[in-house]
Amino acid sequence: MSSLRPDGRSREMLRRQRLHRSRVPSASGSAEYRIDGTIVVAAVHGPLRIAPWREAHDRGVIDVELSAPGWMSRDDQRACEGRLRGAIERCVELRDFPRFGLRISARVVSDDGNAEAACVNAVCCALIDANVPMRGLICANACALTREGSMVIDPTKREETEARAVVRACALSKHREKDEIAIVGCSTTGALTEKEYLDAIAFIVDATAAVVNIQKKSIARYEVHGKLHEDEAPKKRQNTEDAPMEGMENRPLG
Amino acid sequence: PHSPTPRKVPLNHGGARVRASLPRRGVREDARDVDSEGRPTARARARAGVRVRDGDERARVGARETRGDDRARGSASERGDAQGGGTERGASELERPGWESDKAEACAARVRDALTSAEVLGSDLSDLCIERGVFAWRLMLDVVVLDDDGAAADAALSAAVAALRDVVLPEATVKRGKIVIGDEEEGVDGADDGMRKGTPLNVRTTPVCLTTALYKEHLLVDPTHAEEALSECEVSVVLTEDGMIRGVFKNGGEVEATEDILMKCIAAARLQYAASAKVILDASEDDDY
Repeated sequence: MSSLRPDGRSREMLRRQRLHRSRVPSASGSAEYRIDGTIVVAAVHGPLRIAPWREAHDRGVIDVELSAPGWMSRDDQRACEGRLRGAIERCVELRDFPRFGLRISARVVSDDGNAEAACVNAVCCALIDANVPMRGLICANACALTREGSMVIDPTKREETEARAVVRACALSKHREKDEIAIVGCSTTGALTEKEYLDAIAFIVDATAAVVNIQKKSIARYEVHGKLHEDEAPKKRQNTEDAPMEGMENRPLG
Repeated sequence: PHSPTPRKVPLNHGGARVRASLPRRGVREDARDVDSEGRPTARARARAGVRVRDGDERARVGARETRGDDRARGSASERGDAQGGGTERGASELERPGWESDKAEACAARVRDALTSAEVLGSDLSDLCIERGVFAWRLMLDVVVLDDDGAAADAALSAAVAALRDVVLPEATVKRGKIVIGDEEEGVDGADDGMRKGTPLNVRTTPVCLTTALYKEHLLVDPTHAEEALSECEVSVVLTEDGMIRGVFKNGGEVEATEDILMKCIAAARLQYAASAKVILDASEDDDY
């Protein structure tokens, strides 16, 4: 019996992911991150001067604003902002710009599932675009537990709604002495056992490797070709706009 | 217990913030052991009340009329609206009065998600239905944080569950397309004898949240406000009596959570569940509270 999902993916397959940097010209750095129907645009302004009463003498301050009108309730947006801020504070070298601040905004243009992960990934790419000093690349994903008990990575909106539980987590990509599973932030909805939760976390951490590839390729392309060539590249690819970028095609993990 | 010795006093512009280290011996500032389980009573006091709005101009308590099949089903699917009104904070020095802080809204979302994931009123909220496809009750849950000494979300969830256990839905019938509350049609005003007539809400589960802070490789269960400020990260776990995890929340922090740390946090929540649930059940049975 086929175990494919309604959109034709296996349970370990990610959807097509696309990244376009420097989407907001006035920002210090920006990125548009697409996971099929989920589109998030993130912009980074700074480091810039902030109000004296908000300064921290030994580290920078991060302001995060998430806008998802029509896709998330106000409470959900604030909760997601908190997780986003926590993830960014972990990966950015805040001590490199004391008394300054970073203003980060993320807007969910369209939500077809896994929007929170798209926000984290978009913000990370925007930080790269802004040349903000970072400890590592932060990447996120989600895993849904179906009512039959199986786990599927990168769920669509429909899969999230029908799932018994959804686990969202983000991890920092950095060199590790030993192979360990460590997360920066997580949130869950629904009911699951401890084993299911830990398996879902491991599943998500494995999946973040694919996202890290996207971010690293984007960095490498900028370093080799320069920013001007990157701006021209999308025009050349107009005929094959739907073709995924190398390394981001829809293929199984591992 | 050994008294804490402050190490440095860094000053933020516009105010002083004293940062003290935890005592060097294995004792926390409130005399609990560093590795001990926290006491079940929440130091972050919260009071929750559930308002059941009334469409009747006279009484102002009871049901609010909702019409339409979508609304009745909507109140089953939009669990957030049905079960989570909002939280108010202003009980710590970090909150500015008059502003709805981001933390309060995030706390409200967490309480709502915990209540929804735990299916406190069932998965379809059918207990709130008055007439299928026409009328349904709408619950507005307000949580007021009176004093925040850490782990406010834990106390907020406990207070919310206790408030839901206290709810009595008035007797309501539909006559000639309108809702009739109690004995109104018979013209019996009924002397207020202090007894609430109606159907108690069927609270199926008792979710309990436990926050654990990580400080220098020590796990501090149920951290105080000062400990939260010093902690490197916090993990909150929501459990129900069947042992299922209804929520795990970690908002970044300076330290990543490994699998080992997550397992310890879940184990601490399991150990603490019985005592915390007893507090909620005792509060529900105490008529004088």
